[in-house]
Order: sequence, then structure tokens, then C-alpha cells
Amino acid sequence: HGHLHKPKPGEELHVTFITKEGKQHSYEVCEGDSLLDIAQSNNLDMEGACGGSCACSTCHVIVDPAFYDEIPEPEDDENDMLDLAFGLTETSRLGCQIKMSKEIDGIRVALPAMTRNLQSRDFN
Amino acid sequence: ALFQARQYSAEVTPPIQIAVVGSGPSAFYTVLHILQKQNPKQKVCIDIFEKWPVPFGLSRYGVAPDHPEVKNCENKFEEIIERASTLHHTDSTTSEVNFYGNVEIGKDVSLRTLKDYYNMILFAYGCSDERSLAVPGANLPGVISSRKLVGWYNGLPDSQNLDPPLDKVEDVTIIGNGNVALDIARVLLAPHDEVWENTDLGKKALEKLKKSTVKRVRIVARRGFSQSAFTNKEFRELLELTKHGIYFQPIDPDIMAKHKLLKGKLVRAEKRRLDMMEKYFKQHCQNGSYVIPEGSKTWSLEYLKSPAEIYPNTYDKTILSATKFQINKLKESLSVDESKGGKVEIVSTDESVTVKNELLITSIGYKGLPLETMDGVGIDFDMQRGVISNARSRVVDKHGDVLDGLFVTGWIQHGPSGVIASTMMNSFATGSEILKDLSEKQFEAKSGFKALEKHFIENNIKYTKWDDWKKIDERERELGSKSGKVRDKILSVDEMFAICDKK
Ligand SMILES: Cc1cc2nc3c(=O)[nH]c(=O)nc-3n(C[C@H](O)[C@H](O)[C@H](O)COP(=O)(O)OP(=O)(O)OC[C@H]3O[C@@H](n4cnc5c(N)ncnc54)[C@H](O)[C@@H]3O)c2cc1C
Ligand code: FES
Repeated sequence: HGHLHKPKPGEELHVTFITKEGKQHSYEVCEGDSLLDIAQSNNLDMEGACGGSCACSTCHVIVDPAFYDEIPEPEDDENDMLDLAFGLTETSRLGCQIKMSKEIDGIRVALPAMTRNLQSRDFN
Repeated sequence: ALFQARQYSAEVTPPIQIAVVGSGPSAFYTVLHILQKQNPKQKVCIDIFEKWPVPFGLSRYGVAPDHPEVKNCENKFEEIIERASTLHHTDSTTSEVNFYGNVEIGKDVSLRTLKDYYNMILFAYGCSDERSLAVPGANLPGVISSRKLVGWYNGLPDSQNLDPPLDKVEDVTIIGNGNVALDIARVLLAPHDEVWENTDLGKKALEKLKKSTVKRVRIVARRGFSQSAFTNKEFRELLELTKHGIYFQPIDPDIMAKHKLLKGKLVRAEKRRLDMMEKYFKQHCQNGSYVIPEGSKTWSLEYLKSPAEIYPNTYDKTILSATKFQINKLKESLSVDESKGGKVEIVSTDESVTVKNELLITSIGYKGLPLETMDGVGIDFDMQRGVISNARSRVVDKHGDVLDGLFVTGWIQHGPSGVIASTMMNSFATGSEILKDLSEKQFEAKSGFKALEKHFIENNIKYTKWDDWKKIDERERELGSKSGKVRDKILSVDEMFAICDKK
């Protein structure tokens, strides 16, 4: 995975990632590319531990509310993983489950901070 | 020879030697973080030591066989070893990462020796023990720990003689309701031919599962429904077993009624858990009522019960007859005390109930233990919590003072909970602390594995390297592909070495 195609001229879609340091990175990508693949091929900090199989939550992204409703709703298995994502927000999604499409051209997503303060329940 | 000697002259700084104890997810994710973020001009040599001849810890020997996607993290771990130098965002270092298996740190190598040979040590050895019940009957042969059972079905070499009496039992009780308990319920109930045969579940376990007579699995916890420790994915997987004719016994209506009053206050995951259950009952209702077809296998979630006594079977010593539970109630009408980290207190009542079960599995938590020789280097171990005492991943002595060059991560740092994703985040935090030292401190030249190798030869310690693991891996995949599965695990250390020794 992580291999992207070059978009045909005139068919480029646009995506912007905001890193936890607050830097913006914009890319021109193809329809169908997942946010996980895009982030990984551009060396952004997105681990994708389960290789995009919706089984780990390490590809958690926070979607700009302006685009959130344009993305097809999460399936049960994505919701199961979102339950476990650290720093969950109202517009959280899994990067491996968001595929680029014309509807979300220009989408902006933020990468949540990767370090995590341990919660008391971790010590149970 | 002269030419080489010049290359190694004084200008070349020797690599900083880092030893890692354990090769589970926490070890690899910490190493990954170091490699990705280190100063590209600084060379580190990281040696990962593993007690078993093969790597990956609980990813290989804990995660359930029907969760192959979870084990995909192993691909990244392989990459760490095989392409250490290409993982940098910048590309100029020549840092290396090595794997040495079948080396039990503390036994085969004392910590004093390891400290002499390495600049830094990272403890990532997870939890080597498990909490046990302290009630009459807890030592009967019909009581099995989840750790052993999980090791048995996952092909862990030292659990292969377990031979649980699954062909003689109908009712199984699991004490504890974390994901490990739910994994076990799935293994015991799901049909071997449709579910397990195509996974890497150990072949000895598979043979036994084929003869299993298990009918009902009861998952019992001492606290209430809102304190359930399992996560929704695992809950859903059990609910979905209806497609194999395995049904969910509804939870005690009294417990659920109280819980539903809380609905407004529940967090997302808890709300979803309730919704999932409602949806399940709706889906499986006929003419307005939920009826479990006669003779079906079932599972249940039971709450507010603590085991009090376990009774043997008078005819067959290997199995049980029943377990007596004391009934608990929640203190202070369900109010959650935030100051106690949301922990709900329970009190026991004088009521009890006795249930029939021929086998009881304890799943009340893994537990970390200190390594032998650890106190020899001043490390403090918190026996209460089963973790290495530390301050922000830095190991401390009994006065709480940081010990230079010693770090800890994963389950042996924060205790036995959390999934691989949370373990990873914890590891990145440990990695950042190590990076701080790498950039701020001076390091003396240490001999690393060169000196250790001599120790191994002198003491006749046989170890595996990454290439050996690759041979075992290849053999397992080859064996597995014959029967259409990812791999067929090699079940004994001797057999593993036989494969390594083959030319
Ligand atoms: C039964 C079970 C199922 C799980 N299922 C899932 C799941 O589906 N999804 C998920 O995300 N997470 C799951 N987890 C959690 C996940 O496995 C852990 O979060 C993770 O493995 C913790 O990593 P660790 O490196 O701290 O410990 P471990 O994975 O335990 O690694 C520690 C390693 O150190 C080695 N070691 C111990 N002592 C020594 C010594 N003296 N010298 C050298 N080496 C030593 C051990 O052999 C082991 O290989 C599961 C856990 C269990 C127990
Ligand atoms: S990569 Fe694992 S859930 Fe997306």
C-alpha cells in the first residue's frame, strides 16, 4: 500500500492535511486514493498499523466540519475503532476509510497529536 | 587489512548501543520512533532481545487467530529490521537494528552485564504473569488461566501440554469480561470448520476444538454493565455468531433497567454498546419476542457476581461441577465517582448463587513481574501494580530518582491494558524521551553485541537471529499454504531450532 497514482490533467482532486505542529500540506491526488495512502506516501505522521483494514484506529483524522457531511457515513466497524481513538471529536474519521471523490474535493483534515496522556483507566 | 583499520580510526564515532528487552509491539514502535526522528548524523545500534526464538510478543501469541488484520503491524516491524536505514525521513544514517531470539534477559544475561555492554536499555517485556483467584477450589485442574488457554490456542510452546478438557464439558464460566475473555468465548463457541480451520490457530488446539462439547459460555464480572471491560468490536463479533446458530442470552433485566436510566450520561462507546444490543434483539425477534432456538449454543454476560468457591466433579477430577458466586451490588445508586477515575465501588451482599460449570477460566488480568537481577542495578519494581517504577518512561530507583540510560515502555510500563494503537502512542512517548538523551548526552564507547556474543559462546547460550526467524516464518507459511491458511505455527522450540539449523 501507500502507492499512489498520478492524477490525469484536469482530474486532480485536492486535499490538505494539517499536522499537529499546525503546518498545512496540500496535495493533488486521484479519485479513490485513501487519506491513509496519501499521508503515508507523503511521509506524514500517520501510522496505519493494521494496513488500512479498519482494525487499529492509528489513522484517526479530524475532518473539517465543512466537509464532514459529504463523506459517506462510517460503517459499524469504523465506529468500533473510533470508539478507541484518542482525542475523539464530533468529526473524527479513520483515514483509511476516506476515499477521495469529487464530493470532497478540497477536503481539509487535521492529524491529532500522537502523544497521549495516560488516562486513569489505563491503570485498571 | 590496513585499509580497514584506517576506516575505523578515531574520527569515526562508535555507534550508541541500545539494548531492547522484548520484541512485542511496544519494543518495535519505540524503535520506529527513534529511527524516524533521530539526528541523521548520529549512528545508533539497536539490539532487540526476545525470550522466544521468534519475535512479535502478543501480536503473535496473544491476538486472536480470527484477527489477522490486527497482526498487520508485524509487516512494519519486519521493515524496521530489514530496512532500518531507509525508514528515516531524511536518508543519511546507517543505524542498524538486530534481533536476537531465545535470549531471556535476567536469566541468560544479567542486567549488570547488559548495562556494562550497552549505553541504554529499554524494557519492553510486557506482562509475564497473570492474576489468579484466591478462593477455595481455585487450584483445581478444572480451573485454567486465560493466559495459558490463549497461549495454547495461539501455539505458544510452553502452553502446548495444557490439554483443556473441552471434550468433557458443556458449561464454561469465564471470570472477567475484558477482550481476552471475549476472545476465549469466541474460540470456545465458533464452529471450528467455518471459523478456525482457516486461521493460524495452533493445530494441537484445533484437534481438540473439533471434539469440543461446549454448549454454554458464561462471562461473569464482579461489577456492573457500565464497567464492562470489553470493547464494542469484540462484543459485536460475539453478537454476530448468530449466523453460526450461537445465541446471546439476554442480560438480567434488573441490571439493564438501571443502566438505561443512565443513557443521557453515557459516553459514546457505552451508548453504542446499548444500541448494538437493542439492534440485535430487534433483528432476532419473532412475533415480538426473542426466542433462542432449542438446542442452540449460547453465551451470556453476567454482572455483580464474585466467585466464592469452586467445586470439583466427584467422578472426574479433571473437571468441575459448579461454582458458587456471591452477589454484589453497586454502591451509591450508580453514581460514578470522578475523583476515583470513574471507578464504581461495589459491596457484597449475603446472597449467593451456585451455577453448574465443568470448566472455569480465569481472565482477571495479566500481571508484570520484575526480571531476575533487576535490583542488582537499583531498579524499583512496583509489585502492587506489576510495573517498573518510572517517571515519564524513565526507570527510577526506590527513592524515585531517575536511573540514567534506563527506559520502559508498553505493558510493563503502564500495566496490562490497551490495544496496539494505545501501546503505540505510549511507545512514541518513550521514544521521545530516549531521543532527548540521544541529542543532549555524551556517550562512552560500549562494546554492545560483540562482547555479548562472547558471553553467549562461553555460556553455551543458543540464540536465533533475524535470518533464523525468516526461515521459521517461511516454513510456517509453507505448511499453512497447504491447508489454505496464513501459517501453521511451529509448536516447539526444538523444532524451531531444527528449522534454523537446516542448510
Ligand atoms: C489475549 C490478548 C489478545 C489481544 N488482542 C488484541 C487485539 O485484537 N487488538 C489489539 O489492538 N490489541 C490486542 N491485544 C493487546 C496487545 O497485544 C498489547 O497491547 C501489546 O501486545 C502490548 O505490547 P508489549 O510490547 O508491551 O508486550 P508484549 O506484546 O507482551 O511483548 C513483550 C515481549 O517480551 C518478551 N519477554 C518477556 N520477558 C522477557 C525477557 N526476560 N527477556 C527477553 N524478552 C522477554 C515476551 O516474550 C514478549 O515477546 C491483546 C492482548 C492479549 C493478551
Ligand atoms: S489503518 Fe488501521 S484503522 Fe485505519
